[in-house]
Amino acid sequence: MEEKIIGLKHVNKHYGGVHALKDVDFDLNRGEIHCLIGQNGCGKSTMIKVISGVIDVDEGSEVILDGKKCRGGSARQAMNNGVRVIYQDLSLFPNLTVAENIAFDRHEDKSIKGVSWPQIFKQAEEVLDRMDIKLELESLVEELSIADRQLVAIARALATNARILIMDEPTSSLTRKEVNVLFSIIKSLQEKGMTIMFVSHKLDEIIEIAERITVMRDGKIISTFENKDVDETNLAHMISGQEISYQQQFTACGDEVILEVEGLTCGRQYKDISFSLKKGEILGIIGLLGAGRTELASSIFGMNEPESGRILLHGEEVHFRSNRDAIAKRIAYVPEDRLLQGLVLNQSIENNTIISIIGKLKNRLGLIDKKGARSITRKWIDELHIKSAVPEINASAMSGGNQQKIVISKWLSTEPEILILDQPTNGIDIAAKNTIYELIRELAKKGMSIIMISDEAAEIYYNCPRALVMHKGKIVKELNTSTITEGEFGREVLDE
Amino acid sequence: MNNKTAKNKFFKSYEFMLLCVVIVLTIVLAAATGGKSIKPDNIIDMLTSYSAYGVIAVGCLFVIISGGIDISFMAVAAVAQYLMALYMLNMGGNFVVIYIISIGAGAGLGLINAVLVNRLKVPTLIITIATMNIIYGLMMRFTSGVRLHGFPGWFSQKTEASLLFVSVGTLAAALLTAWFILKRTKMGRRVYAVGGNIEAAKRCGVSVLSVHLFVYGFAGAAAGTGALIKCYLSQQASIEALYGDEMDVLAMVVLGGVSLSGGKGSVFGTLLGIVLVALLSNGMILVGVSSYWKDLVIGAVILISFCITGWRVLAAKKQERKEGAAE
Ligand SMILES: Nc1ncnc2c1ncn2[C@@H]1O[C@H](COP(=O)(O)OP(=O)(O)OP(=O)(O)O)[C@@H](O)[C@H]1O
Ligand SMILES: [Mg+2]
Repeated sequence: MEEKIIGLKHVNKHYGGVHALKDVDFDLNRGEIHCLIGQNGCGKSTMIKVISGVIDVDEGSEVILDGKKCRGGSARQAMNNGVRVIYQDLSLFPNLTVAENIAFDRHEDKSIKGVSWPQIFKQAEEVLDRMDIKLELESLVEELSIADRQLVAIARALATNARILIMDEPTSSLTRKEVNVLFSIIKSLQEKGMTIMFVSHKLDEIIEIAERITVMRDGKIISTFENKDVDETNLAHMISGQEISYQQQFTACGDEVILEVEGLTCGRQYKDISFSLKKGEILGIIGLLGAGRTELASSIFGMNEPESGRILLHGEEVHFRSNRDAIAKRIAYVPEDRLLQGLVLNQSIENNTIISIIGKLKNRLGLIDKKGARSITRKWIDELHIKSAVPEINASAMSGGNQQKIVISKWLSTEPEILILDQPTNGIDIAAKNTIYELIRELAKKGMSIIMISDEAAEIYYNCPRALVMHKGKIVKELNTSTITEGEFGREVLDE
Repeated sequence: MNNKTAKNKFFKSYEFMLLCVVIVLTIVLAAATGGKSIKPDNIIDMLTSYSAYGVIAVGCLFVIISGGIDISFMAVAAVAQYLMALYMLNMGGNFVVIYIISIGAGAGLGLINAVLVNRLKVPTLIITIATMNIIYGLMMRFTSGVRLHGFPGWFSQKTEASLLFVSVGTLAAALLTAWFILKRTKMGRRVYAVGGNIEAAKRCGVSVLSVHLFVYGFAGAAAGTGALIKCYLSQQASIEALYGDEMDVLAMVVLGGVSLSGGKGSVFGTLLGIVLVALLSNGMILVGVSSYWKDLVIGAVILISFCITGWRVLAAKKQERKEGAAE
């Protein structure tokens, strides 16, 4: 048996004028765990779609699967050869139940005739048991949170007898707990002979799971390394071409209290939450999945009416009936589920960016000021390094991470007084991450108050002087990050 | 527990609400007409006369679930009706043959729609408006609008039983077939998959072309069958017989709770939609309201039922949170 299970030779891919893959040579060995890393828009997802046959390649490219040459653009062929992919956009069916989504691929197999509902439920249940997670099998996927949807996508890939499992940022919305389970499943699959390819922007995860690591930049493969030859620092350097190190850079905030929350309660989502936010403060909220962080944030933003408790802005109690009320009071919210809640995919980057400030962009005739819109969009494209982007290109033509950046820029351009960021750096590469942190600090210095929600301890530790730890809907402690080390902070967060 | 949640879901579903509306409406109409509306004669009459559109609506349901919309079905039906009638006038034939002809003609035209929808990246509404106009145009050119009648005895001598069989029987068969396909076959689930997320379906290896061929072919076949029923009831084949009633059929499907962006809808819902439209139209005739009001009432019912469903979903969500708090 040949060692190589997938080989790409001289693969080129153009999307219109964009040269997304440039003469890529890549090998995936049988039975290995191989990680693919690189900046947003460098071509990782494109390479995966080439392997899984959902996009065509340019003339002269060669894709070899198990020693056989593949026709480009045949998803069926790749599936029949045991290739299963968790796509970055998850590619789930929102209108179908969790059970059916999980069993869908399995049921597409020719050997199964007809549709057996008991079978579908049994299969789905088996996989979820194996992953040790609980999801209501009857719920529609559209009713799930983004993290649960990610779990469903993973379950779907695990439900089939895949030989090659490719995962495009499967962990971006998961917290450490789910990631650990996923990794132990990956390891046990590997023992059974499965080949695994994994994409992530979280370098600690990569170092933990990968045997070999391939670094991409600008559509080209830079090099492939053995795990033992690299560490987080030099990977970060290779990805971005720059030195990246984090430091706590706190500036003292003012004394003026902007927002106060008192005894806020909302059913089982969260309970008795009280805190205050000062002008120019960056407040961190950290907690695992299901801790109620997102629900709390959406209540402050007027999208999830609390049952009891008070929200005070500048000392005055407010009742938001919808997020329009909140926006009017200059609160902005960058949701966790950005692609669904935050982006109009078939509209241009420019339209997506200015949609939140369209009222302010009027010229003397009351029409949209085209020049102003253009210059704002250009500014964000530069500041956030949104790759190969011109303002008029459709958001759907952007890479996953760059779409995230567009949503962030859309809310930043509203220049709010209070900015709530829910997992602001999900799916964003390390260089751009740093830019976003700098931007946030900059904004805070100018007097914006920021609530940063995250499950990444480092993210909170280096950006927020004060952090609230949430667990099962309650605030269990408040930490002063400047007085402890990163390691201590991580431990404090974990043992609730 | 599974059973319980399934039951709960049903009580919260749109279909359940629709069922209540149908029951209430039946009672109200019965009261308003002094029981006339629930006499067996009237019920049979009502079902018979709405079964043609009912069958066509079932075909539409498939197209809408797959994420498209078809406006050309009445034109397709007109062609099927003409071909079937011509065959009977010239060659005689029997029921089996004319069913095959009308289904085959409808399905054939449906396949043309499917290929156009699949190849041209144009909204299906535009494509089927185009095919509708082309078909009507060609029909006018070749038939000059002549009505066909005077069919052979086996077709024109209706009995109570044959009438019921051809109309309600065919509708029942269509509903059962549709239910079976959507619930129990892979193709049926693929139709939902394509309607829910076409890109994801492709990535799972689903051939979207085959789904389109199936869906539009089925819709065409249903239109052809509906045309046959209509022809049997009226004993004539003409273009105007079906022209202009597109919205009645679409109202049945929409009332049945589909989502026009695709991926949602059920045969049971459509059945209720058919019954509701039939009840409303028939009831208004019995009560003596001008038929001009019919469209207005149907429109109002569509709006009201969607509002109630939306409101119930919101209320259910609030309730869920409260229950959680008690835990
Ligand atoms: N459908 C499309 N049409 C046009 N250009 C596209 C399309 N999809 C991707 N691109 C472009 O191809 C390039 C590579 O994108 P790709 O999605 O592979 O990036 P990626 O490495 O996966 O990035 P990320 O980390 O953000 O997910 C980007 O410049 C992107 O804008
Ligand atoms: Mg990607």
